[in-house]
Amino acid sequence: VTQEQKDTLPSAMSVLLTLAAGDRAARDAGRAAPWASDDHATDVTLVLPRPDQNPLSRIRRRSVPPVTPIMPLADSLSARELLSRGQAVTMAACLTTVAGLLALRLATGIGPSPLNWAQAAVAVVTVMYIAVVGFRLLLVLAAPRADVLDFSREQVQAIEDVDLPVYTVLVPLYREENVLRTLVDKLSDLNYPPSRLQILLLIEEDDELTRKALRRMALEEQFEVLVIPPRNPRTKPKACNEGLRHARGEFCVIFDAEDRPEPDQLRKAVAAFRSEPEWVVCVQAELQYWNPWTNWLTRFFAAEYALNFSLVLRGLDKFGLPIPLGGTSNHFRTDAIRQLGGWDPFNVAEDADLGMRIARRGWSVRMMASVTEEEANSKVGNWIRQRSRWIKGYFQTWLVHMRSPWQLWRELGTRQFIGLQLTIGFATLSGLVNPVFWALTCLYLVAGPGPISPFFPPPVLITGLLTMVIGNLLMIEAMMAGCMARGLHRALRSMLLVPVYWGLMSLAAYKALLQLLRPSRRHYWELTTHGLVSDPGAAQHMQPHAVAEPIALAGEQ
Amino acid sequence: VSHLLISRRVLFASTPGLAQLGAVWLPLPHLLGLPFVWVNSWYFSGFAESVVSMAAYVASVRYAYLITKTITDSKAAGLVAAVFFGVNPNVLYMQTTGMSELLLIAAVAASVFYLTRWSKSGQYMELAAAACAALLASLTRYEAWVYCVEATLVVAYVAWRRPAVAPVSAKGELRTRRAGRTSLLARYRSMEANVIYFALIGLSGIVAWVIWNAIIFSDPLYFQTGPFAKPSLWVSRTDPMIGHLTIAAKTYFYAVTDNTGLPALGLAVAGMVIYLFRTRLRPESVPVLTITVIAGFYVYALYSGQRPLDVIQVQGNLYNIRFGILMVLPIAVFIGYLTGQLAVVRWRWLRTAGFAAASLAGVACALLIVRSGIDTYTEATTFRSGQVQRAETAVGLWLQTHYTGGKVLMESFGNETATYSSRLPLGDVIYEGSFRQWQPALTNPVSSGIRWIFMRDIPGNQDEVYTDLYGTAKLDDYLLVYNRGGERVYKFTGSRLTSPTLTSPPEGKLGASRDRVKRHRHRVRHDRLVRHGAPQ
Repeated sequence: VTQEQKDTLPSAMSVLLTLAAGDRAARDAGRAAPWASDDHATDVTLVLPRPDQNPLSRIRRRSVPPVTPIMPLADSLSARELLSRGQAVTMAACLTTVAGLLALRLATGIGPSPLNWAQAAVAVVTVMYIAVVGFRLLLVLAAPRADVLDFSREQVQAIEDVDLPVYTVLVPLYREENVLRTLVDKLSDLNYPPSRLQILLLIEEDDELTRKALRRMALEEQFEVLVIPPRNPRTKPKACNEGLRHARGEFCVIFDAEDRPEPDQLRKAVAAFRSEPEWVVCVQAELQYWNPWTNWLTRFFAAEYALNFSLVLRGLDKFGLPIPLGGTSNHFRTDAIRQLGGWDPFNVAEDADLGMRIARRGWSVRMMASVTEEEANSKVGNWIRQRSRWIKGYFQTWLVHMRSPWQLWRELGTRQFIGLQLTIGFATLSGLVNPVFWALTCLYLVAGPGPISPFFPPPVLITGLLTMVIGNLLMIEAMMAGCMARGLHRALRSMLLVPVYWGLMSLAAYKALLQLLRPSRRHYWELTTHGLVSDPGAAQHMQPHAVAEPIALAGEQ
Repeated sequence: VSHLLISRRVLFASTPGLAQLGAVWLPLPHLLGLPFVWVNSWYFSGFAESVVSMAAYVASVRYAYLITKTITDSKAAGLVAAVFFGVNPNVLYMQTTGMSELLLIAAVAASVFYLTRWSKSGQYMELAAAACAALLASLTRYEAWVYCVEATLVVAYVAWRRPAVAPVSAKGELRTRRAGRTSLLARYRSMEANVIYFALIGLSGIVAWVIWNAIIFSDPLYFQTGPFAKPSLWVSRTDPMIGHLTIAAKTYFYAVTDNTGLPALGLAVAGMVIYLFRTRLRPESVPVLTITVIAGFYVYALYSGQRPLDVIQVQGNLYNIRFGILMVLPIAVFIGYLTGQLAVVRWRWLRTAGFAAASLAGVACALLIVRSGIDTYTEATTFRSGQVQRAETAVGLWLQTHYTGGKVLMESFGNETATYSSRLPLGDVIYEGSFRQWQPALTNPVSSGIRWIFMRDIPGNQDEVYTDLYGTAKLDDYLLVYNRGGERVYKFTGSRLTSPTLTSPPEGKLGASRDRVKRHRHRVRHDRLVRHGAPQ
């Protein structure tokens, strides 16, 4: 293609050609471009609104945005492999040792008996429960004293438009045709000058439904559509990495398809970054469900989110502990996240993993008082799919960061190391362990103490019993505190039945474990269906924005 | 002494464990004493339990200050309240003992303080703190159960009168309002939410205790109906208070004035009247009033014969005069509130002088109490110098020097002083709380390995050991070695011990020759004759 032909091509084609040229040059040099690894596929299509068809003259033609490379993510920090070699060897050694000791006991009567092992396991789990409950309680109690970044509307409005940096919004989409209209409306409502805003809609190439829906829509100048080729792993982080490479903003943020961010959120984030030192590379806004009253499931879900974002994460912020990011509405310094290697495309809880990597780098995440509304899952199957993905991702994150516990401890320090174990490790494991202890409790109630008493030496029994009673009570009260913090008064009575919800969480935990053990499903992204509930409050945002012509995707004109 | 024994038994009884907490006394004082009772010197000096009271005293003074400061916005008024409470001689005496009153006052004061703060700020964490303190109170003394119910009602009242405003972000609630629902519905939801939030923790202690009773004694109301909890054990049916509300109220009034002094009560009533007039039951004013309502509970308890209380002015003696000590807290707070009215005085020097005078008045009230006698102390010393207590102490001291090891059969109920002063290893004492050991030991002490038998033989107040063993062949192998003041101690002299767990007695000490056995049996017979008279 000659330079002359190039000039006459639509801008999207120009992008393609530029990317292809970059790849070719890299291949010619006998190496892959640093950003062109399998993880960061480059065959993307970028579509800009066509300014020549736009009735509004304020939209101007932009130059093709440059592609900025992302530092490659080290294999040791990627969830591509479930276990590192060291982990596999250690695990095998432990299992062999236990099996050997059991065999020795059975053969010779020497060594700890199976009952001893069971008693030890029960004691360890009891300690784990105490630690998790105590830790969460500490976070909840500390939350009101947390100094979250809070800016009033007046403060953020006082920032002149010319002083605002370019901001990139990454919106990964897959089969989100139901919520696309609302999403675009909400993103259009962001109180940020369009000329300084880059909203990248990240669409999978084989996602016909979303593409069709998008074709019928009019997009303003700040919207750009990035078509991601269908390569494995088909995950949100992979799409986000593509978006990150095309991001022009000094800061960037991720919003999900069903998100409804507070209009001032980007300005607040800018104010937050400017008020914080450079090593604060991420600010996390709070997430909240807009449909808590749809059914019993959404009540529990809304209460859980209220607890997590209004109390637990604020508590982590207060103590300066690693914050597992919340998937969406996390704002980054773009250069920092590129240096970190972007998101791990093999980790299905890439947000939590990134939070841990930020902590390991010695950087920091702060909580920001700004709310993004999301749609709470209202169907059990859909909820379990979503939750199993989260839990699977937490398992992956914990395994990745525990590949070298010594190095992790050196990087984080003792306090943060313990915080990570309690936030990611033990809390996730408890979902697997809970059903075992519920079953033992049921057995006790049905058959009396006989069958279970051998597993519970008296001190463990007393401690475990107190932990069960007091721990459950406190966790229910904590859920209620979350509801109180967000004024979800109607949900409080439902919290008395929250163990049912915990049961569902355990179900999801086992599904996550099974998927993790199957290589073919290990990196599988359980898709969550959005748009199950129509929001009456969204109607006011449904009027079409007659500011831009419908666009056509490349190759479909 | 009972509190010390219960705590110690949790760790060192013949059947140790939490079940030793029993179901009559509420468990918190004993649980708090656990870290201390294992140290012998702290246990035998009584420090192990009084340290809990001391800490509670400090907390009580602090919360008396904070409550008053919160309702008056005056630190000086808070200090006056703290002085009135802190220098009260009855309070000072009680904080040196292992009794549970100070712990109750501390927990209730903390709960009232946080409840007051919540009613002003609407901060749900304050409500949670109030609930936690109420939980602790409900596990300390039964009076607190009344407080817990009261506090729950107060939460409902405050939430109804002042429904919490939902945060802007809580769109679910806002939409409900926008949809045109009545404000009554919003009030109701706020009230329900706050009540559930408070009660889940605040009332859980009561529920837990009922469940505990059901599990341990197969009766959820064992703490009320059990053999050691029946009001008839303490209250005579001929007590003049029973069925006479005026006498019951008068008795409790005297109990309060004996604890605080009449001048302090007068000042507090004046302060309370002004408080009620000025606040007119506004939501934030109600929590403080909950403490005074407990006085009504006491009066009802006396009237219905559930609790015993004797005052000099009515019954002519002192018994449980400490029941009036709970009112020292509201009296101090309302005196503080009264002095807080000095804030309207324009001249600072006059205000300072007024607060100083009020503080001195607190000291003066304390001196008046000292001069007329510290009734809680007087009651205790009178009790300790009584014939029964002296006899128990004497037998305890005798056992200290004569006990040579082995299991002791000894009922605890009514013999606490003897048990404690004897310094017997509690692991060797078989008592009514020794799981699956007590009844076998009563049925056949020899085969249970019992070396010593203690029994109380006070006419009309014999213990179960006496009832079951005395005058029976079960004592044939035992020698009466102590018999004074209605306290008897028997020592094993036979050789038919079958318990495999019993260690061999030291040579020459318990080895029983035939002669000695004969002498012993003769003495037993002689003893019976002396006790019941020779058969005609």
